Amino acid sequence: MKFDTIIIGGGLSGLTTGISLAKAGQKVAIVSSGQSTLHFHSGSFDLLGYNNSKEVLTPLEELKRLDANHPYSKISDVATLAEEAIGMLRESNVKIKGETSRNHYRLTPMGVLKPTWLTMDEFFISDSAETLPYKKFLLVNFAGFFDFPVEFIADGLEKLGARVNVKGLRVPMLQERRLSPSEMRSANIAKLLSDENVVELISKKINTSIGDAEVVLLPSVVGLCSDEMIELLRSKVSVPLFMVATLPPSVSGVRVQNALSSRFKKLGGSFLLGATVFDGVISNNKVESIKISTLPDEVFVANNYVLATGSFQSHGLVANYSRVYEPVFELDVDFDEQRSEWTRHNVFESQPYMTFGVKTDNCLRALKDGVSVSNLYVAGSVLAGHDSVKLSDAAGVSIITGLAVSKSILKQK
Amino acid sequence: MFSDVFKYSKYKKHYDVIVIGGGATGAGTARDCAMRGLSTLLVERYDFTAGATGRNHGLLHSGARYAVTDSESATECIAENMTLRRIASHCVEEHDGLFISLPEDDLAYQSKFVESCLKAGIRAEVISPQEALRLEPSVNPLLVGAVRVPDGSIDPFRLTISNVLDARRNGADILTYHEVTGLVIDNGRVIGVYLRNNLNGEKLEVRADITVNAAGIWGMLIARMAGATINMFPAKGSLLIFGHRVNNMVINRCRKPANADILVPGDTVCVIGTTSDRVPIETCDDMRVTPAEVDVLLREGAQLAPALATTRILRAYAGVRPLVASDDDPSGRSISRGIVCLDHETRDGIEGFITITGGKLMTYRLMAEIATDMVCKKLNVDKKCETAIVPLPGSDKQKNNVSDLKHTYAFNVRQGRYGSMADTIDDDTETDNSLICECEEVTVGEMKHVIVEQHVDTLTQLRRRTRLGMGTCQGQLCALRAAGLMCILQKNEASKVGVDLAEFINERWKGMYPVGWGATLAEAQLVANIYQGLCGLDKFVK
Repeated sequence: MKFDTIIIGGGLSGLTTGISLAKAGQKVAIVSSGQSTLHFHSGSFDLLGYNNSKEVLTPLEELKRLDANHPYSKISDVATLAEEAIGMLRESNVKIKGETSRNHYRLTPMGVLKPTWLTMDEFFISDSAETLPYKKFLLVNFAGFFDFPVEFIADGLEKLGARVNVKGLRVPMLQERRLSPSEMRSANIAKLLSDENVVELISKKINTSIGDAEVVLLPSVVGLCSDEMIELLRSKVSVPLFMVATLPPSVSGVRVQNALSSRFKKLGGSFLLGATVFDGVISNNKVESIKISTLPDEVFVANNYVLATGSFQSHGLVANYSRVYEPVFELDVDFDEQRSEWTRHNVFESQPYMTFGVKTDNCLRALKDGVSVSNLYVAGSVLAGHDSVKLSDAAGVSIITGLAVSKSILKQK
Repeated sequence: MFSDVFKYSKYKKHYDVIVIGGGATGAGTARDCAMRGLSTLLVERYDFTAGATGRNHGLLHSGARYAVTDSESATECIAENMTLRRIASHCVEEHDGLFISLPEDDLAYQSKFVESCLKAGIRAEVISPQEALRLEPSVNPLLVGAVRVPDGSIDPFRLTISNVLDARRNGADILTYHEVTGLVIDNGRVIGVYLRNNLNGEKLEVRADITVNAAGIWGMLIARMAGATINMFPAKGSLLIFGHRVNNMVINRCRKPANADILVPGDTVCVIGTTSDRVPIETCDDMRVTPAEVDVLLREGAQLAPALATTRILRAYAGVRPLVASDDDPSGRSISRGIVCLDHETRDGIEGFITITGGKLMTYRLMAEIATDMVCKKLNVDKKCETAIVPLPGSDKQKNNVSDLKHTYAFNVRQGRYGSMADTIDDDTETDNSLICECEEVTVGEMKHVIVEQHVDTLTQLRRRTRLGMGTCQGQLCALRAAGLMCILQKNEASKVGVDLAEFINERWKGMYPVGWGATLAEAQLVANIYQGLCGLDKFVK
């Protein structure tokens, strides 16, 4: 099978690249081994939240102070690509708020405000880390849903001067589910809340508990497939209602994944799910072909290839007893030869392994044995050079490098 | 957060006996003293099992390992092995063990081994390599010989807690998080202890006729407070836990005891160990497993069961053996693993003070008996030891008839974990039955039970009692769920529970980073993304 571009990895980065290329008329395939880290999504997309342990308010201005190895440092027009990203998300029906010039704050499941770039419309945000847009909150949870620790959220809000009433909702349909002890997880609840009647019932229950609250917060367990039910719920509740992220799986993240992959497919892209890539052949510094596990007899050929396989948690990088390697093409990986230097004793310190990743040239083309592979680009978390936990830049790196790679590929013509 | 929440945290001004140390030996001694009618206080500076008791193989030794080199230890072990099967059945897995000979091992050692075992009263049956492979398919197929012995595994956490609970039932008071900062000495006699509450800094003084030092390796520091010197040699032993249970029988090497030659299955995992290195006493509070130790454990472990080479390693950890050199051998050349019970009155002229040390987890009960006998003698109490006869809480009733059991997995897990005490765990509502930790099947009802009954106020204590966060995900989701519940059940402030959660996650990491590659590193990255990225837990770090 022949494509203009084959993208390995169907997460945020692979999908961004795929949409951008398909939109430009390319014949594109995305090969994805499974679910992506969007399933751990917070409801927000971070561009750059921190640098040197300090909060970043204006991320574009902070770019020049980033380490030279940071993926952003290889991209000249981050600002332009960031605007393009906003357009791409909106066109894909991912409704978002926020702007690139200035970060806002998202509320975490532990009641912490963290700086971020874009947040999905239904989520609660604040413009400042010191003050909140409301004073009186009604914080709602579903009885028996332990993946939403309301005590932490209430405490976090109260520390900023808010008054918080906590309400546990008992919904008959959910109560039935509770007979099975592990049923009360976000995605399961969201499936039940895809029913108009259930949503109506919930809105009634919320309305009777509002009292003098100015705003209602709810765990993000509505809107698995579309935002229809979110809109219904918000229209029925008499005050503004916002969502707050839960423990994984992330219902909003699943929706983003679905929205982006259906956008990609609508643009004519092929999404090959459940397939791993093997037999990547590189000769004369060029990828010749690959094979995929679900069609092992077929040879896949493309003019360009994009590696967007993610970091260790997505198995885009693999560490064994003695080394760190990239499993698809055995590309050059930036890592410390001393195993004892991969980690630090304190988990809250910056961990060296977080910065390990595939080495690239300045055009984000992969290096193998020190030489650029001319038609293999690298995007997203598999890239070396940044600690996304400490910088809060994972989504930004995924999207921006994805778009940058797409630009480079399109420029080749 | 910590004050006044322990329903059982009370104490009197004066006791017959104060026992220092909340490991198996201290808990066992407190139980024995209380059963003999002595008014007893058990003090522990952190949590139960926080020292060597919680950092070993969890091996129910048959004694076979010592049969050739130390027949006294071997005899003690097999006797205690049989006793623990009776009195602590809910803490014991009876699955037997193999001593295997590999081609490079001397088969002549096997006959010597079997002979020594039989002499010590240890059942030792030579079986063919084929039979060994049939019984234990994970064993190295290159084996040339095998001996079957009555090894098993024992859960040291459950064992210690059961001793604490029984001490309490018999009237003992228990103070955890109370550190001995000094001994009250009057005219060459120890008459009590100065304590500091390690959670709130409060200081107190408690008196007793006799003080028993059962503080493991830290006992040498306690003895120093009395002006006595014990020639102790802290011996660090490192171990690795694998992500699932590769073997179902203990696998040992049939050779002179060496590094990493015991593989013990326990609960959902298996453990390879140990190394043995002398370390300075100052390092004993923060043991770190080195890459060199990990290398040895992996290399030797794969010799016992080749599957270990490709099995995910969950954690690495290390404990410190309290080895004692005999008084006439300051060089430490003749260190034994035998029990040492010191009467400081006859030894050092310090009255009212006893040290019980040396020994092994296996002999904790015997050590307690010896120490308590000495206490009774000093107090002129004529009461026989009954700890070998009276079963521990959890093992004190016949197991429920299978047909009476509710057939949920979590219920069966609780039966295994708490024995007959499982009946008192709430399971009537959806909330009580909700799973908090999926890896280890810990329910809300179980959390409620240990919080109220088993001195639990932090997530780490909760982990030691229930195994929450000990499974393959190492607390990825359950720790935050449990933290939220701690806020509700304990009425603790969220900001303080957040600090506790940060410490819990850091403690999990301390076992993961020495084996930070493969699935363990991938999992660690996910945990970092969830707790620091998604949740912002780093804001709670003190």
